[in-house]
Amino acid sequence: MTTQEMQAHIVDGVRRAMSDLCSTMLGCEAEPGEVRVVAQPLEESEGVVALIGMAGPWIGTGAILCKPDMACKLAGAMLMSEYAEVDDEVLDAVAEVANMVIGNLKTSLEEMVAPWVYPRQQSFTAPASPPNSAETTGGR
Amino acid sequence: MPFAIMGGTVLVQVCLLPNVDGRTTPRLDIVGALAR
Repeated sequence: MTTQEMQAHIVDGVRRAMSDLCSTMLGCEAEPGEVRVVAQPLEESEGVVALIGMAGPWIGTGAILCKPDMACKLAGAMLMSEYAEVDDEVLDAVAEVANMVIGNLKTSLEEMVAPWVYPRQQSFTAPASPPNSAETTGGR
Repeated sequence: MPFAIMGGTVLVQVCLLPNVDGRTTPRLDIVGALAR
């Protein structure tokens, strides 16, 4: 499978995964925007980031990024509560979103290639500065 | 890829490359550094 073919499968898989997540867990609809290839991964990472590492026939990461208020909305919808600021529960909720979206993507990709290892996830806030002050919930 | 949901935006980024050297352990140290 070429990189271009993999990109097409990733786009399709992510769209499906987000749609499934929103309809089943968040009670809303996801409107997909323009797909872009970026030179610097996570360049728009100011806010909350959840990362999952993947290894197998293909290797890399999947990430969910959003602003803090969006992270609070996601957590509120998932946990049926209200959050005014990012705390451990909000980070856990965003990490779970990443787990479901990237996990769903991984499952669909495995139908085309061999099974993958799916080792760890991390979620953390990523303030613009200072760069070393990011808080992490640690791997699970 | 951005998604408009609940009045905001969630961005999903996936970075995958062919595993030419057979490595199965993710480089989480590098993943962390990318967050900067």
